[in-house]
Amino acid sequence: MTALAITDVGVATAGGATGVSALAAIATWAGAPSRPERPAAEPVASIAIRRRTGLRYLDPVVELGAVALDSMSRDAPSLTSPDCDDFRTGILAATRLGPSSTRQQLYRSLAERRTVSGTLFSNCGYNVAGAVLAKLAGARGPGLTIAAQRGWSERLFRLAGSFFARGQADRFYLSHADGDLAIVLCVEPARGLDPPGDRRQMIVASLAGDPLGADGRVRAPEGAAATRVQIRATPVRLVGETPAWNDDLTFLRLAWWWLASEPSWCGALHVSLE
Amino acid sequence: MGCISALGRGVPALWNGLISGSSGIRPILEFATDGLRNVHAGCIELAPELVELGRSRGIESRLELFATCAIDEALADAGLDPGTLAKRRAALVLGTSLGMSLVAATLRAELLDPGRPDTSGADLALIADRLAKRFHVAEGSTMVLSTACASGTHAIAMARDLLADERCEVVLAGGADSLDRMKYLGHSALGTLTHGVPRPFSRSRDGTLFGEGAAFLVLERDDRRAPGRAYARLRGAGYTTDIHHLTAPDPNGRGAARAIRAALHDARLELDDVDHVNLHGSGTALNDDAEARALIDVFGDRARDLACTSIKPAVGHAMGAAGAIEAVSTVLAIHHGAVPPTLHVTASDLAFPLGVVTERPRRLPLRNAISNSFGFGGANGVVVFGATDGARRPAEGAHA
Repeated sequence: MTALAITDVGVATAGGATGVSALAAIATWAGAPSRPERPAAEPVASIAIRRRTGLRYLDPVVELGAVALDSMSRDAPSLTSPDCDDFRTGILAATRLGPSSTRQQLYRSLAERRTVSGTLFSNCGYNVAGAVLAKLAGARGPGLTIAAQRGWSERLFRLAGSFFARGQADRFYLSHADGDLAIVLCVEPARGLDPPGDRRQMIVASLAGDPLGADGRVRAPEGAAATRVQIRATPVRLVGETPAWNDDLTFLRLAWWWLASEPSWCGALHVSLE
Repeated sequence: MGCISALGRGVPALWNGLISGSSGIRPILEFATDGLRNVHAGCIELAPELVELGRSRGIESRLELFATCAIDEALADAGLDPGTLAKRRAALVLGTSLGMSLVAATLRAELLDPGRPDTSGADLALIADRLAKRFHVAEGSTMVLSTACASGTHAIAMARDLLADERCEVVLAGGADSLDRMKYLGHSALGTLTHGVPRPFSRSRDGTLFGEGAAFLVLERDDRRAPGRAYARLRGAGYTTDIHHLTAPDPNGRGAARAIRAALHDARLELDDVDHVNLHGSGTALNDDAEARALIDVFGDRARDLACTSIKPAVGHAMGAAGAIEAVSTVLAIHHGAVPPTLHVTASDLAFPLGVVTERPRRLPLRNAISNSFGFGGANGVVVFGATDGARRPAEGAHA
């Protein structure tokens, strides 16, 4: 399978926190900042996001995914050509409950008024979060939503890898939005990496015990720091009730390395996802 | 292959119905119809033997019952014993739109209460876990995909990936969905339902009618399949996303056209290699217009000569199962060398310069065919099937 490079990470939690604040709101680790207060008002970011999507209504969990995507560092250069074909960027999403708030409103509407709103119905599909992320990212490539069953993170990485291997995509946003947390990872093929300079990237060197890359090994780019970590050993854990996330903490741990471990590494970090 | 649809239980029922020009659309008896724009649908009658099947195997939901029927038939057709799946590197990929959410998770009519909806099926993973246990597929080897009405097509495309990277020897892939009052009210509110019958690609088209069911294909690698058992070869797949609107396609059909091109490129086929298109063909004004533009964009004048058909007027739009049922129809068209007619449409009423088959089946040898599915959220999926013999170019592929 093609080796993968994670080139950006976005995190958002209910209440509007992003980045390290979002991580601290939902997880704990040695040295974690104190958990931030939730802002009372709707975050400005989400209003701007609604405007950009052109949608009057967004389910809270869909909005969470959109805020996570929007929080990514926009100045990070892409590994792929800047004028890349937008049909070669895709969204691969995982979810268990999808837009559950919208579904509950549908149930209430049917029970109380014996009718269903077209707006709510068109926003209750499991793939709505992926569709909104695609619109925000301008991603016209493959867009798939899978159930966040046990091992969902490995499935998302493998899906991205097979599209890369077949030459059908250059970049994916991998997302999981459920409950109070959304994490989005930008993933590109690790092949053809130039000396990264100050560029940060996490290279997925192995997946469930399978070494990645054509020769079974991924070499560190010239001049890059090549820290290696076993992602399972990353000392971060969820706090509070987040049942849809408990089965698979891989994205959370990757987000921790990206957002919270700085500046302990820069350049390339090789991660093994077991 | 296995299938259950409004045309009946079993693949022969589907094919015989399609070829004879029958329709499974009938008045809805399964749920209350007040407030609906159209009170007809492609609902599946729960005959006593189906109810008994559900009872004997502990199945409570229509969706799971339909999926089980289709998988049972597909395994038997492929000569596979369910017990052997646990010993082989087998996977199960299910496409569904809303899964078991928004539908009653019970087969017992006395428990159906439209005023008290059932919320127990909201977890998208639930149905996969149940099917995996039922068919002895190893934990971690099931996948549920939800890309609205492209789900069934995407599930079959995904199976190809699982076989191609050699993690699996055999993949059961397909789609399943069930209809309920909540879903029909939703589509009624969106104005997607026709006032009469669906007339895809005609000047008088004004909407679609929905249906339910399931279809599954058994896919094996070329080098692992039993000799002489394959109906067709799954040659390629294409995926794109319209970023136009949550419930309306890109009116120019750009995403759909790109998905068709990607699928043909993946299959290593030229335009002239394609003889048949199983259309998404929902019958809504916007969908048909976008699909016609896409086909004309890709195939140019040749679109007039392609034998195109939509089976939705015969079975209803089965949402997440539609792509899988249409894949079965596409494979059978290649296998039998015949394209079923699009019901309720005459040649003189066609609105687009496409070779839509009307009124009676067209019999011709089919080398390769594509099946299109386009769903809410701008999900586009296209799969390419080819004949097992006589293909012009050798290509990597899996067999159904």
